Amino acid sequence: MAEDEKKNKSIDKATQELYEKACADEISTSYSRADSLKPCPIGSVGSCCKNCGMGPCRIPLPKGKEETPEEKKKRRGICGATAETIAARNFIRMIAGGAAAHSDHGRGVAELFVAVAKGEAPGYKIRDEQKLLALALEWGIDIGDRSNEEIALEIGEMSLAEFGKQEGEILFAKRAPLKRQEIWREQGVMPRGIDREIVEIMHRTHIGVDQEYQNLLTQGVRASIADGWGGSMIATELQDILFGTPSPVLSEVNLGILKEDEVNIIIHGHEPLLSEMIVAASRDPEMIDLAKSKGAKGINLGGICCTANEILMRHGVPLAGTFLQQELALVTGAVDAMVVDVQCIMESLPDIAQCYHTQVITTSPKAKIKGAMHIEFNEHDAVNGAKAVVKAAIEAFPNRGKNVRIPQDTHNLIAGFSHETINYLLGGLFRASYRPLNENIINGRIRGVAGVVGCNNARWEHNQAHIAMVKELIKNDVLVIQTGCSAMASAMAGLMVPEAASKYAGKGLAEVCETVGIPPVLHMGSCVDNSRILIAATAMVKDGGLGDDISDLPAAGAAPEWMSEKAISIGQYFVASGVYTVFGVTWPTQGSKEVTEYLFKDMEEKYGGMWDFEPDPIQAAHKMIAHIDEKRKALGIDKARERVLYDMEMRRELEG
Amino acid sequence: MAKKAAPKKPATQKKTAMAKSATEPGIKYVKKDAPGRGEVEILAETYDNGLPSGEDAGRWRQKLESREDKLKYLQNGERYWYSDDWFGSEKRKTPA
Repeated sequence: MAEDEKKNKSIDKATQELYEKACADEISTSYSRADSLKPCPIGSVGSCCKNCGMGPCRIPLPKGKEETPEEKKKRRGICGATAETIAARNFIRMIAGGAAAHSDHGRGVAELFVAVAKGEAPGYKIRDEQKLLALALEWGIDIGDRSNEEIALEIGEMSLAEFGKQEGEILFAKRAPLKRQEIWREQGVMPRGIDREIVEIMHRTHIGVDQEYQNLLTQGVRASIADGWGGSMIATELQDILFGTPSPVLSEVNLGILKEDEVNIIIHGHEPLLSEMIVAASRDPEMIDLAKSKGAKGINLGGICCTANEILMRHGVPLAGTFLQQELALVTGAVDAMVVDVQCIMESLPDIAQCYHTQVITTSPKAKIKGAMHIEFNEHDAVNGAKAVVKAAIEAFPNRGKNVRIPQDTHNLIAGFSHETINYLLGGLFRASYRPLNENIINGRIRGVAGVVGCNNARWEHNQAHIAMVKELIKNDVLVIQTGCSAMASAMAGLMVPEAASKYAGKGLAEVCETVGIPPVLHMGSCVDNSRILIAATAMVKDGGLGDDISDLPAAGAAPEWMSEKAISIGQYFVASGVYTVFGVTWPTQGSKEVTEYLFKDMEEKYGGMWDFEPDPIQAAHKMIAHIDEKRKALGIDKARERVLYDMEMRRELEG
Repeated sequence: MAKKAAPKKPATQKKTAMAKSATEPGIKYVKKDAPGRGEVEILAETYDNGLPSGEDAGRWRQKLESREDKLKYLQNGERYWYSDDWFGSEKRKTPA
């Protein structure tokens, strides 16, 4: 295979090596399918409506010329819906899909939480009492001498009520800066309940309902806030209480973490409820003995996608790879079982597994795949469920063939940067604080902060945009915080170790990183953990010196290789929270200039944050830096000021 | 009258301590330019070689054991959300 062809697929050597093997083994992968299946040019820009049986109505912009007013008038669906309405409908349906995915994850965690509080979920326990107490304080729940389980039951029931709430405001909105809360109330986008806002999108986008694009997009904003400050935040907070709030942990990343002489189990998906138990089961002496009886030296766990990030953050379980590496993990021939839960799981996995010996195991009643073994997760018997999964992997180990190739590529990374840990690292146990971060932004050592998140996209060279953007940002003294597959990409490039600061970061950022002992790129977790970024941004505001709102901060966000509806929901709640947010690869409303203009410009007037689209990652990084510089100027911290030590005479003059 | 013991010379004491430390394994010194003092020898990085192992290595929340300690930490470390005495910069302009 030509070197160029491999390099076009990924910048990662392990991925290139296994793509070549996949081609040699005649395996169809997302890379090869992307070559043969081009994206629909009308659907990809939001100009196709298939919301009723009269369509799909495809109303593309004229090619290669400006649209005349007459042409624009004719560009309507059968029901009369304009290009604007259709683009806005499609856009907010993506938000609904993303918000539903994150929030249903949150609901699942809340249900388990209640079961744990009632003592009905053996194997689980409350691991972070402090975070439990924090939520109790926040929600006005009596602490006194009550047991953790009593407090947890009340928190769990209140969390579950958030999903079906019909009136008022979601509880976590009160965490946002006060000014931000006021903006949401003024703009009529404060979510009432999580499910309600998602359902309302589905209603409004039904044929013949909401036909004003601004009004449609406003509901999109409301549902996205219900995701970021609602469903996702509930997922993160309750998981922290149940499984522990992440602390710094050393681990490894990339497909080289697979071991030739051990039972390799890959955990893939997004919900850590069962995978927490699989971690425990894989360390059970009974299971290790069983593995040894089959000729393996032990049991090796690795993760893909955000379930991986969850168990990395809390246990240091190595990351095998990103979304686009899931099929390639099987192509190694060394994976004995791939256990999947929900979201971003490719239906091709069982087909590929047939070519090797891998057991693909689905575990969620919401996500079954034809050809996969199904071992359903049941919180009341999770320990035995997890053991059954591990046993299935062990049973598959002796069937491993000779067609095995494990790439040698791995990198170390430090993960576990929750908001709580950043606060502790910066200020210490007795005066935890974001003050040092704010001070160093004010004095210019750190230019600003950027959240770079999101997926991989088979339409883009794997990891290229993530790495180019992140390197450009840290080179320019911008501290980068990351989640999801984007974080994994940076880890694979060696950007998530403290020594990366002196190698890749600008002088000012490197100084701060070396002093605190942190990498210039911080791994904050899975995609529901983008809620951690919202809290970190709020903590910066509250600590002072950088304005009164998230929109005042010298900060920006990006998803340079996005592909999922969840990414759109995340991007929208960052915009709604006041963050300038740039997406790469493609933009789904290009079929309507008005809708795109509204998202890219008018939203800034309403929310202080706005969308942007820039496929070139370096250009996108420069746009983010320009935005950060604008915010620095607005705060009056754009120029270095000489520090003057006042003597008594100067002070007297000042007082006079 | 008893003769007052001569005070120890701090410089000598420092030098002795330094010489002793310099022989300890793992302790490194580097030479750097100091303003007005020329080249000086200072303690280099003090971290241990190698990689921290185990998921407990970075855990810090376990330092807080009792419920009282945990609540105190919240009211101090997370003061802007959980303390009545601290309001954060935003509330100075907009009283709660």
